Amino acid sequence: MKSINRHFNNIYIPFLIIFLFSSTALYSQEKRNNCIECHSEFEEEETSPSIEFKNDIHNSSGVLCSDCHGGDPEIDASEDQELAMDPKKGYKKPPKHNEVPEFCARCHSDFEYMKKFNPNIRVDQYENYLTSQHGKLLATGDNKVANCVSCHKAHGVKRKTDPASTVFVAQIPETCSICHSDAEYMKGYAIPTDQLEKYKESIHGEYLLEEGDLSAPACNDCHGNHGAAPPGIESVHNVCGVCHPGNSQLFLNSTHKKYFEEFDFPECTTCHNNHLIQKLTKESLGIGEQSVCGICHAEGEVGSADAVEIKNSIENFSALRDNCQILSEEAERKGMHVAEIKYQLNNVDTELLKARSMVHSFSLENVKQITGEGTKLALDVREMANDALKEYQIRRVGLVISLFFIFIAGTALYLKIKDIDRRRTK
Amino acid sequence: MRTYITNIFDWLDKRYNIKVVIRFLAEKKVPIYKHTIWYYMGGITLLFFIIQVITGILLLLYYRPTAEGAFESVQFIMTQVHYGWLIRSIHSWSANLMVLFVFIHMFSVLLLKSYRSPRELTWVTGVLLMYISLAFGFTGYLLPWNELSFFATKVGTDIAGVIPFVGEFIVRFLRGGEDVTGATLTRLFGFHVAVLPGAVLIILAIHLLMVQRQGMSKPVGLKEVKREMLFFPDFFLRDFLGWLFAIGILAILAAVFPWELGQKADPFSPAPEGIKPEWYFLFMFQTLKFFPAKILIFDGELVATFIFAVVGIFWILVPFLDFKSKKEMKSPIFSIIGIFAILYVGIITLLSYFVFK
Repeated sequence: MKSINRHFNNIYIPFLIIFLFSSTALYSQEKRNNCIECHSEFEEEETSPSIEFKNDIHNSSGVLCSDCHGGDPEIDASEDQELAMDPKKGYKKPPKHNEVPEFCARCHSDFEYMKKFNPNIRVDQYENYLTSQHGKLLATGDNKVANCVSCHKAHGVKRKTDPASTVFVAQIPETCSICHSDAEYMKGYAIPTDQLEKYKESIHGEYLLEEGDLSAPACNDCHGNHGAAPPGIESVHNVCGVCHPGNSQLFLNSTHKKYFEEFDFPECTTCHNNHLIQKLTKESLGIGEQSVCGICHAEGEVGSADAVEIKNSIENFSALRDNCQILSEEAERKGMHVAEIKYQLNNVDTELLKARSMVHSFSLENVKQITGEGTKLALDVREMANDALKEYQIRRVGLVISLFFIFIAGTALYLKIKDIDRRRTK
Repeated sequence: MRTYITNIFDWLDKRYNIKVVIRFLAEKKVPIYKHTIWYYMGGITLLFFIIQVITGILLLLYYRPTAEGAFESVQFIMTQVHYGWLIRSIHSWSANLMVLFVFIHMFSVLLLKSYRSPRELTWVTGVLLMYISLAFGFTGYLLPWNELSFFATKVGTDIAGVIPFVGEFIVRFLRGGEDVTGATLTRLFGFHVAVLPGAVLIILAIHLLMVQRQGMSKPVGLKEVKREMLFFPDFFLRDFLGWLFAIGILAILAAVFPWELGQKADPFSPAPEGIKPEWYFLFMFQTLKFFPAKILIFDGELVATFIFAVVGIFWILVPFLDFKSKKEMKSPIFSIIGIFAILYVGIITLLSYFVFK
């Protein structure tokens, strides 16, 4: 007991003293923020600064109102409002629309200041903004274009990883559409206002907004965010190539690159559209009505024969693959073990994906090489599935034969028993 | 040829006096009356046990009892080994049929009061064999190392944890550690192929010897049996006919409904929905769920486990507690207990399948 007491005295009491002192010290370091207290008294709406700021990333990082707006939050404004918001104490009026980017950049472009919040934080937003369409127009005195707070909000700024943030990936299309879908607001800019509508119908929109796949691209992934601008015709393949590097590279090395440049075709979007990128079907190839090749290649013209051949080659391979799946599922339904077949079918799927991607080389030979290899693999899979179905038949026949012998043996045994019984009763 | 056999027989007889045994068996008779059919149930159970031993040994040729290799080895048996799928399917189906016939055999013996004096020990060994059959089922279920069996074993071994004082030790002993891992698999494999078969062989030998030595019991009140048949060959051939019938059913089940393998167990994945033990444990599993979390100051699961243990011991002691049948008097209480047990197990099992999904 004594030794326990000694330990308590030697270890715990000094700890207790340090703890008490340090917490007192921490408490005394906490600044008073009279701005919020005073503004809360007359600001009642959810969107008013003093209320929104409570959930703002700046607030939770310890940045006070006065760090942006100046003034002295230590002074109780109910006693002396003038003194708290005295320009001599650094108080500035809220920035005008065209002043906002520079206003935010005071901190956000200062790496020395920003790195204490995150050593890897980017500080090039303002620089990027100046190169953006928004930034350029703002510089010409157009106060309708977006500045920082148009997208991030002024006092309810949240991390982009926060699902409630206006710049969270799944929120971005709606955020951009506040201006870009407003035909009245966009009047005079000569750009369409149906991007959100089209995006929602696109394969990208479907993945991001319906399936919740956060890796699917939103507006900023193609246009940039702070440096937002429409990609130039020649840089489209680079933009799409960020996510689709294989297809982009195949396109670059293809004959089409040269002709697209010649005719000023906007690369990938010529066939795939921009905001309304659709999931391609088998009708997209060839020269049919719904085909994208048919946009340029009419029947009988140069390239149309290759387009049809490419379509046929992929379609035949795809049909074979579907046939393998049907057979595999049938074998599985019949109780056969098809794990290996399914595994090999995955490899066939990979080949099909490669063949579809190879279309971007616009070379019949290249596509045929892949579909040829894939077809070989698919034929093996089909054989395995057929073997499984044959094995199923063999099992059935084997069962019937076994039951037949069991029946014969049973009948013989039954007759023998009856015979014994008969002899006993005699 | 005949002289050779006679010579061998004489040589054996001189040493072991086997003529006495043969004479005994030749004179042994089986009563014929309306409940004679139940005498065949033990034989069919024995058939399924023999099938288990044979197919089990065949599976052992390829099976690997490790977390890394178990699932793959069963997959190999089912896809690459000639007739491997059939052997595994027969082993799984036969296991279930064996447990089913253990129950049928046990309840028929209970309702006919065949356990009464002088066959108390036949009953005791029989009940022990039933418990071992269930242990076989529990230990064998995990061996393919698939998702369902993995989580069912996890839940099953968890239940032992509620036993006061020793529960934690039992769980650790069964699992070979804190959790269900490869160590559990190796351990349960050891029980399944060495410990339990050893125990069964000894107890089964005693059980069969007792049955042969004492002959078939007649129900209470059946003083005289008008007809009898010889054990050899009359009863034996009929038994064999039953075996052929059972083999036919087993062949159909194994070939038409091959036992599935499922997905490989992934200890880090969340438990899939609807984890259930094998059907013969369902009535206990469901009973556990019926109990509230707390009964007075006791844990609900603990009370349920305690009741299972008491019923388990009571079941072994039935012949010593049924005083009336001992005196060749009707004992309706034990008939009611038997019927209640059949209804309870049957209804709860069916409800678990169709209602409490």
